[in-house]
Amino acid sequence: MDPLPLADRKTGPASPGPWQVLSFLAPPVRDILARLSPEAWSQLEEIRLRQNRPLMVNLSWGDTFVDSGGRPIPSAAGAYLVTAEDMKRTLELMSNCSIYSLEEELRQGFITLPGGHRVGLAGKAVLEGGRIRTLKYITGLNLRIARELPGVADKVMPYVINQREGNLYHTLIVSPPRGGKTTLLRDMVRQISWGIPSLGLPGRRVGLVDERSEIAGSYAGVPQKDLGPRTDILDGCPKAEGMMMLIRSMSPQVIATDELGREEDVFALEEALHAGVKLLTTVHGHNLADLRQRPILARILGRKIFERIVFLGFSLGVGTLEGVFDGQTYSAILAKPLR
Amino acid sequence: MLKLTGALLIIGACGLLGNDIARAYAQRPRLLRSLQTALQLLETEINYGATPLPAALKLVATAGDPQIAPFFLSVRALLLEPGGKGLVEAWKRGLEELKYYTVLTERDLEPLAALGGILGGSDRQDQVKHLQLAREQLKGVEKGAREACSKNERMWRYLGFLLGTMLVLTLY
Repeated sequence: MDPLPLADRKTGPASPGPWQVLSFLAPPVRDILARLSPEAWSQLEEIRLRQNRPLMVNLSWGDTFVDSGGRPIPSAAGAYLVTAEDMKRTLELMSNCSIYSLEEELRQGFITLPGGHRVGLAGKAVLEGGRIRTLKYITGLNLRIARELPGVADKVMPYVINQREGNLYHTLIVSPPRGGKTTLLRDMVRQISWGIPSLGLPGRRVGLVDERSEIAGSYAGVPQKDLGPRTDILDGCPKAEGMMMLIRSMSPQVIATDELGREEDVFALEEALHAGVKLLTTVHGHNLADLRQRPILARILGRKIFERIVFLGFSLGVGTLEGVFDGQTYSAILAKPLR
Repeated sequence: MLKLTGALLIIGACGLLGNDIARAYAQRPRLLRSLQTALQLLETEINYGATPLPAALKLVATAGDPQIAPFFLSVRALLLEPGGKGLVEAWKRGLEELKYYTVLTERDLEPLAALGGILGGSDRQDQVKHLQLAREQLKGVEKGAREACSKNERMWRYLGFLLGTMLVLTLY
């Protein structure tokens, strides 16, 4: 469980496992978390550092504090308190001692580490002309451990592939936060890119607009996740512009993006539609009624752009496939939760 | 004969000693100037290139005065060391080495010392401000060193020989 040497960070190792993130934590915190049980590591989703407050981890079943011996404890009383020095060192390690080189990332509130792990940041916003210029006094860190789950899309693929035409349906994935939609999208992109012979889908050229560097987990422009051999990635690019760029330049057959929701996204979707590109995208939400209440999404649904709407949820655990609907008729294709 | 050799040796040794001191006086302003140039370069890299610190330090080391290059290289090496102690510690140790291997004094390096806690830790504008401040301060120190140099350099160049001669005369 040796932390990786910093010098190796540029290239990023192939598949170093979740404890790769240890090398980005301040030594005291690193030592504590290295002592977490292997079982806890396998369930680890997030590590939360808040200055002068107890160290916390999110496991798949909920959050828990951690004491200085690396034991999960339910109450904050005996937990390890994260010091200002810990925060400073962690930021140094994450930024390569160069906070100034991360200005764009700070503006957006997160940075991506080698390995595709994402770090959310909270602190004091510095404004300039009413817009956020950067963050300073960063006192809250949320390290989300990125996991690849190859095969997680297996159960979904049969519902979103038009076997007659050997092509994808325009697909919208709907999920509450942390419901596993990014993980699902990533695996779908990978499978579509490789092709699925058993479902009659040849490999497709996929254009991925990864606005928040979350799907591909790109570090210095290099994707840290396997996304298949026919995937082109626009990293950190605004969705609407990125979709247009890809259509113009990379002639994709499928365009995948994460978290739809802005006005200009609708326009870009329609443009992609006219270009004959299949769409694969996600949105935060719980059910159809929920989506219809949101103006932009109601418009997208009203135009019946999507042919398949996939709902994720928690009823049988994280990543439960709650249902699949036909986007034209809103009739259920899969009505029972499936995991 | 023996006496003459001894006398010449004493004069020679004292002369060299004086020369060394004179050279130190001459070198200080030059090194202080080089440090300013290096900081200027670092500032450019940070401000316009947003170059990560390890890469920027390497650039500064390759482009700058070879006498101060080891400082930037050793800070970089300490920074990249797995399980290293961070920039503050690396910077401090780098400065100690610089002080040990060059004629620069603790006071000369004071403007630099403060940078250890600041470099890399904030946004570009802030970095630039601190680097400029350090450069201004170095300029002040350099001015002092130059004055000391013009006052003392030549004196020490001769003083060594003179002291040697005096010693020989008293011993006779």
